[in-house]
Amino acid sequence: MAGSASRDTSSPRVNEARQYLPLLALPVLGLLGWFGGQPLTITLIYGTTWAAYAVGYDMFSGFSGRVNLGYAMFPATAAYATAVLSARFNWPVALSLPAGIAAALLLAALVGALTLRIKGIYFALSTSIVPLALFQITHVFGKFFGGEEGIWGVPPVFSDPRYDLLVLLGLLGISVAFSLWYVRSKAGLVLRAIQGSDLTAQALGVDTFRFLFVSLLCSAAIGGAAGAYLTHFQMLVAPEILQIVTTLQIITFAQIGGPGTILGPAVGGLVLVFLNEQMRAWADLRLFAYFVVLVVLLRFSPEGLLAPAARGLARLLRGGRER
Amino acid sequence: MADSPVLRVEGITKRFGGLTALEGVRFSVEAGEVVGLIGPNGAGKTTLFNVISGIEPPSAGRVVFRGEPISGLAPHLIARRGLARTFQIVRPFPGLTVLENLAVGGLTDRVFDFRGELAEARLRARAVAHEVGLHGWLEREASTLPHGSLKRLEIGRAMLMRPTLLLLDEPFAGLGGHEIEEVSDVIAGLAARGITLIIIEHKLRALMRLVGRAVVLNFGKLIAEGAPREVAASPIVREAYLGEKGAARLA
Repeated sequence: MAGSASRDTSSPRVNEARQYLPLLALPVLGLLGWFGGQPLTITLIYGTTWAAYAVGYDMFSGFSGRVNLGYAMFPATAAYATAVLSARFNWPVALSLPAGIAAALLLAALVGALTLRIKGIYFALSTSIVPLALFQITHVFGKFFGGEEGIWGVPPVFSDPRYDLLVLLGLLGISVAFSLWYVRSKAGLVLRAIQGSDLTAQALGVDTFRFLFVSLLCSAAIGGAAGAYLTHFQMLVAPEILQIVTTLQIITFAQIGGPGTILGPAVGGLVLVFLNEQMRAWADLRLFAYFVVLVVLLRFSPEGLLAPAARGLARLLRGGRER
Repeated sequence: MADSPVLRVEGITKRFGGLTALEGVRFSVEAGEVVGLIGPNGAGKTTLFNVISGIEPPSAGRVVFRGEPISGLAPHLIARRGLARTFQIVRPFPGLTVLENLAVGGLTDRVFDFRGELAEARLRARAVAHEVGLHGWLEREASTLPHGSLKRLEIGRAMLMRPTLLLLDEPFAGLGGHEIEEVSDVIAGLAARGITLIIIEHKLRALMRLVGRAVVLNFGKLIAEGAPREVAASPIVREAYLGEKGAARLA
């Protein structure tokens, strides 16, 4: 009885060691990007970056239930920091990149200290304001942060983008592996408990703030690393990254992939960037499209599309074998 | 320290705007005691639990636990010192299994677990599940349990914290006769183990069998305190709360 019940639980549990198997797809993507020609390489670079964003978003929000509507603040801060340091102060990339991640962590600590005691919709609201405030800062201190133009002339790490793809795939692999371990560990259990009831968790002696805080830092490190690296590939950072559409896009990817699954958002990011490239011509209509997709999903399939599809496929395969 | 009371409630007053929920409440609980906290609806019993467990700060007065003042500490810090509580309305963590729900009660504050802490908590959770009679439901999602089992889950979760003092807020609420006995047995087991208990309960007959002393609140004030029989016999208590019928039930 207990066994059959456990299969039905909707808790984001995945199988122990088998859960890391999908990481084997990353070398395949590396090969595709290496031999598949430059347009594919570049699309994969963006796909990998957005997958990392979606994973970073999901490992915090997908488990704690605190929707970080300003997640773009982390990649953006890391990107601006490494851009300023390398392009304006001629720091070597080996220093400016870690400094970029450190800047994202610093911001996460600040924002976390201010917002993590706020629950529900108010947490989402207060985080959503941060990127908008940063957007203002890039314009007010335009001399320094480049205003509308952003910062150009950020030095690339490699001259061949195929190497960039390998670095980003490695980064995605580490992010996914770490996140999968993290959410299955004690921390993941506590985050899910907090999602259920913050107060009950506290009454059980759990320092809920501490768990949320550390998780937010991890989440920021993943997005920050990917955002900082992408800036060197693009050789620029533009303030558009701080617009709400960036986070909305990340959330949509995670939501389609299946929130609270880590792998779902990773696949969501990779797959949907191809779609996103097609929609580039739509310009502002994209925002509307994301909104529609998000609302329809939340209404009809809050578990996302990929996770139920994968489960259905698994059931089909199992059923086929049994018969 | 063994001589001093486990808990001293020292003149606790709690106001919500113009409403005084508690006024100068003062009592203490010795180690190993089982105390019933009774009074009519709205007397301030749950508010008192909230103040003791740190969920609400007192407007005046203080709470001393094992010789140290704890008022003003965050709820999780008070819990860490060995003061656990359950809630009147059961609050399982939805999406978590019974085993996971229990295990949350047995964790430390280290975020990164490299020493198998979670595995140990799960092991202890299994043992506690046996004690509270939930071992057949370990992998079931907790929020799908029947009400009676949820009540036992709440107590089990608190047990995993290995508390010195446990506050139980209406452990029998919504339970039928048979279930009340099951939960009573669990509570008696806790008392036998030396855990100090304060129990809020309206089902007085079942409560009075468990407690050695009763504290009565009415309109936020402590109006009587003593052995169950004395309290039941007290005219003030009869008038304020029990009514003749209730008093007859106790006799």
